[in-house]
Amino acid sequence: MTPLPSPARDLTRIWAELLGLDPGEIGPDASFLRLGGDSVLAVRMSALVRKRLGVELALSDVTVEITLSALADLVARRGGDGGTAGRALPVDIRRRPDPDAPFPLMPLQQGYFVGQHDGWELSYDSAHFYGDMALRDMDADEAEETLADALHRLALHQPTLRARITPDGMQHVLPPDAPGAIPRPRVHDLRGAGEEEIRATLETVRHEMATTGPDPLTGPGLDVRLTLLPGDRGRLHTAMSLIAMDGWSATLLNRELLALAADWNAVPAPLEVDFGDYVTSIGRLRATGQWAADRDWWWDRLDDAPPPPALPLRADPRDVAPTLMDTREARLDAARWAALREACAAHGVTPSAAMLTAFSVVLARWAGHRRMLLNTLQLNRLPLHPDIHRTIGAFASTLLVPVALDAGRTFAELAVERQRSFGEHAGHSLISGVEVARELARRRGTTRPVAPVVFQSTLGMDAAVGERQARSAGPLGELDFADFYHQLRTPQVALEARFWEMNAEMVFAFSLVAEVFEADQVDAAFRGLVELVEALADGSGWERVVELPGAVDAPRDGRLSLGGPAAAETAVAAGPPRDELEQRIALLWEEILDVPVLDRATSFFSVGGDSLLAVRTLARLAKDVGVAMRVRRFLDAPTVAGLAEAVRERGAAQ
Amino acid sequence: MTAHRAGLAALGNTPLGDVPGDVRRLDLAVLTGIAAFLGSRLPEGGPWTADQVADALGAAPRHRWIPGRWLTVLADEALVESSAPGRYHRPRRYRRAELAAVRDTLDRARRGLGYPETLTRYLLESLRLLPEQLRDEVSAQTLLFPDGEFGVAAAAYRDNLVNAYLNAAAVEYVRRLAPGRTLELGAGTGSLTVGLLPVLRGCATEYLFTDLSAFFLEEARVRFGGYAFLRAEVLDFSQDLAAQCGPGPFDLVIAVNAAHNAPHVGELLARIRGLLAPGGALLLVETCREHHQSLTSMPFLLSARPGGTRPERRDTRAGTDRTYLTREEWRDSLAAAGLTPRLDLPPVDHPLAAFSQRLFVAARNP
Repeated sequence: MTPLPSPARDLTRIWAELLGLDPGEIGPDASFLRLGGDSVLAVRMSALVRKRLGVELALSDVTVEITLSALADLVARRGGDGGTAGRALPVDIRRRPDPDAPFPLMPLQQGYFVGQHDGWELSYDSAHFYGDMALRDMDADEAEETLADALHRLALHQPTLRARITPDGMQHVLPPDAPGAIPRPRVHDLRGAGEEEIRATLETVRHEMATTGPDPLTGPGLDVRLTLLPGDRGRLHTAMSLIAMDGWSATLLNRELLALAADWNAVPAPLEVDFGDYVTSIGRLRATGQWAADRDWWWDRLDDAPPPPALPLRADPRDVAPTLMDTREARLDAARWAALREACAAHGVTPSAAMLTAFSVVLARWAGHRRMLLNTLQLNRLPLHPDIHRTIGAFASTLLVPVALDAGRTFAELAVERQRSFGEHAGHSLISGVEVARELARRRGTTRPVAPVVFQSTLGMDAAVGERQARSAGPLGELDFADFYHQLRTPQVALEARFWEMNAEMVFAFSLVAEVFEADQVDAAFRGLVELVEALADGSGWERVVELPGAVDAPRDGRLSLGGPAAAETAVAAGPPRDELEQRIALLWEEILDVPVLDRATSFFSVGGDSLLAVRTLARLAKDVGVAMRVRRFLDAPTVAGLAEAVRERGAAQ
Repeated sequence: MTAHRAGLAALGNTPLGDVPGDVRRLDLAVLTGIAAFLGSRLPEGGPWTADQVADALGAAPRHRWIPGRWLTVLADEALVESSAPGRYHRPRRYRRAELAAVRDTLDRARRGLGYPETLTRYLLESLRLLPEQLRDEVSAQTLLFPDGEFGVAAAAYRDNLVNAYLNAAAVEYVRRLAPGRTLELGAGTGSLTVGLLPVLRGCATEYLFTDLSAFFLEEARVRFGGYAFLRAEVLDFSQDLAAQCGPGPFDLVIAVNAAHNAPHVGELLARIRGLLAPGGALLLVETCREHHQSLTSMPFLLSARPGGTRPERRDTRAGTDRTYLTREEWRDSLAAAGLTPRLDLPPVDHPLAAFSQRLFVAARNP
C-alpha cells in the first residue's frame, strides 16, 4: 500500500501561502508567530486546513505559538481516527432553505438594539461608525454613477447590505428586487462652492451622519455619500450601523466597494453561506455539551471578577445624555508599525496582545490600581466555512477579560502573561461575552454596564484578508489615507481603545464619553499610550520594569469613579400582586418568560428576562395599557411592583 | 428517434426564438468591453497601427498579434474608426452607466443561452484581466481552470443550450452505432465523454481517451474509473496517429472542439480515415465561426508557447489569422478525405445554428 502523504507537506504549502514565504524557509520547529503569523491569520489557516485537508481544528488547537510539526501531528491525529475524536466545533454550518426567512439577533446585536431603545445608561439613538476620506483626481462627471453602480453590485453580493431589523428584535434580508433593498449613495455637489461654504457643509454633513446613524429598523444599515469638491477632489462618507455590521465588515466593505468602483467588470468570488446561516448554526451551539462546559467555566469564575478600572469621573454616567463620542487618534507610520510587529514576534506575543497590555498599563496608572475588568470586542468569527471571513455581517461578540498586572515586571513579561490569560479566556468563548456580562450584572444586582471600558483590535486583518486595500478607485479617484476622519458611537461604553491597520500604518484611537471624564486626564492617558506604543516600536519599552500603582484593587473612597456603587434601589415589599395593574404585569411576564411570576418583588432579570425581552414586554404593555415606557426607566426598578409604579407615574404625566 | 430530435428533446420546452438575438448580444457585449478597455488605455492622438497599440499595452512578444486581431473585428463592427488600412483611432470613452448596461446585457444573454452564472463571472473576469493577460502575468488557462477545476470549462462546453443539444444528438447517434473501439482526440475536460460512456456499456471493448496534456488524463482516470474499458493516454494528433495508438481499426473517432487545432485539417482527416474500420465513423463537434465572446480568451490560448512561435496553419486557413474552418470548408475537407457525411447539425435554418457550433458525422464507406 502506498503510504498516505504526510500532512506536513500540505501544511507547509498553506503556511508559505499565508505568510508569503518559500516553503523552504519554514522549519518544523518555528512557531507560526515567529514566522510572521498572528491570530487572524491563524483563523484563516484553520479554514484552509479544513478546506484543503478536510480536517476540523478546534479553536483552542490553533494558537499562534503552534509549530508546523505540532500542527502536523494534530492534523494527522484528527484526520486519522475516522472522526471518533469528534468535531472540533460541535456544530457545522447549514444553508437555510429560505434565505429571506427571519433569524434572531446575535447577543451583541441585541445589546445595540436595546441601546437604540434608550435601554442603557450611555445610550444613543443609533450605534454606528462614521468615517470620511479624501479623494483626489476624481472624474467628477462619472463619480456618482460609479459609486451607485459599485454599491448596487455590493448589495447583490453581500446580503447584509439588504438586511432589516424588525421592531420585535429579529432580522431578515430583503430580496434584491424589494423596494429600497439596494442602498443608493447621496451626493453633495460643492464644485462651484467657495471655501467657507465647503467648510460649513462638510461640518453639517459630518454632524448629521455622526449623530443620525443609519438605522436598519427603518432602512439600510449603511449610509454612503459623496462630496464633490473643486479641483477634481472629493470625500467619500460612510456610516455603518453596528447592529448590521461589525468592524471587520467595515474594512471588508471599504475594500469591496472601492474594488467594484475601480473596475466595472470586477466580480467578487461568490459567497456560499450568509450571515443568517452562521447565526442559525451558532444558535445550535447552545444545545451542545461544549457550550454548557464553557458557560460553567465562566459561571465558576464570575464571583471573583473584578470591577472595571475606577477611572475618576466628573459626572455619573446615568446622569449624562451624550450625542457623540469624543475621539483621540494617533498613528504609527509603516516603518515603525513593521518594527513593532517584528518586536512583538521576537517576544512571542501578537501585536493585539501587546496593545491590550499597553492599554491595561495606561488604565492602571489612570485608575490607580492594577486589577480590573475589561471588555474586548471579538471580531474573529468561528471558522465554520472558508467564506465566513469574507462575509459582511454583525458577527462580532464580546469577551470579558479580567486583567491583573503584577508589579515589578517588564513589559515583555506582562505581555506574555496577558497573551496567556487572554488565550485561556478566549478558549472558552462558545458562550458570548454579552451573556456572561448579563449573568454578572444579575449576580451583582445591577442593571448598569459591568464592563464599560473596551478594547478592540483588528491588527493582522490586512494579512488575513489578503491583498492590501487598493489606492485607486477608478473614476472615484485616488484615496488619501492621511486625510481620514472618523467617529464611533456605541452604547454602554465609557471608553473604548481601538487599534487597526490602514494603508500599511497602524492607527489607534480612544472613543469616549466626554461628559463623564476630565479632558486633561484623557489627554494625559492617551499621551501615555502613544509614548508606550512608540517605545515598543523602537524596542526600548520591552525590557524596562513597568511603573505601576501599588494598589491591587480600587480604593473606593467615595469619590465618583467608574464602576462605583449603583444608586440605591427602592426596596419593594414582597407579596402577591396588589392591584389589577400588577396582576396584569405578572401575567404578561409569565407569558413572555414562560415561568410563574407570583411575587410583586420578582426581578425581571432573575427569572430569565433579558434586555431584548424587556423591549418586547414594554412594547406589549404599551399596546395593552396605552402607556409608552422607556426601557431605562424600567431597568431602574425591574420588578412587577416597580414597573406598575412607573406605568402609573408615566400615565399620570401623559 | 433522429439525432436532431434527441438533441431537441434534451432542451425540453426551452423557447429558442431569442437564441440568435442573445448570441449576437453576448458577442457585442464582450466586444464593447474590449473597446472600453482599449479606450481607457490608449494614448490620445493616433491613428495607431496594431504594433503601436501592442506597444502601448505592453503586450508580451507572444501575445503581440492579439490587439491587431481585436482591432480588425472592432473596425468591422464600427466600434473603432479606421481612417486608413491598418490604422485605428482610439475608441471613445464609455461611461460607467453604459458599461453597467453592457454587464446587464451580457448576463441576460448568458441566461437566455442557458449558460450558468459562472460564465458571466468568467467573461467579466477575463475582460478585467486583459492588461495582465497581455503582459503574460495571468494566463488564460488560470482563468479557464481556476484552482485547477473544470467549472468554467464545463459552462463553456457543456452546460448551455447548444452543447446540450449537440451532445444529446451525438449520444443518440453513437447509441445506434454501438461501436466496439472508440478513439477520442483532444478529449480535454471530457464534456461529451461523460454522456457517451453510459451508452457504450455493453458494446464497447475499448475507449481510448487522449489529450496532448497530461493535466486532463489524471482527472479522467479518476472520474471515469468505473468504466474498465476506458484508457487515458497522451496523444499529439498533429503527429502520426497509428504510431501513437496502434494501427486500429477503430469503429468511432471523436474530436470535440479539437480538430481545428491541427496545423493541416486535411492531413488529420486522412490519418483518421486510415484508422477507421470500414463503416466506421468520425464524429466532430466544431465551431465554424469565431464569436466575439471568445476574444478575451481564445486568442491567448492560440498564442505561441512562451518563447516559441505561433503554430502555422497550412490548410485553407494559411496566411490568415483564422482559428476555425467554416461549415463549407469542413464538408469539403471531409469529402476530400473520402468520408461520407451522415450528420450535419443543427439544420442551418434552425435558431440553434446561431451559435455556429456544429456536429458533423462522416463515415468511411464499407
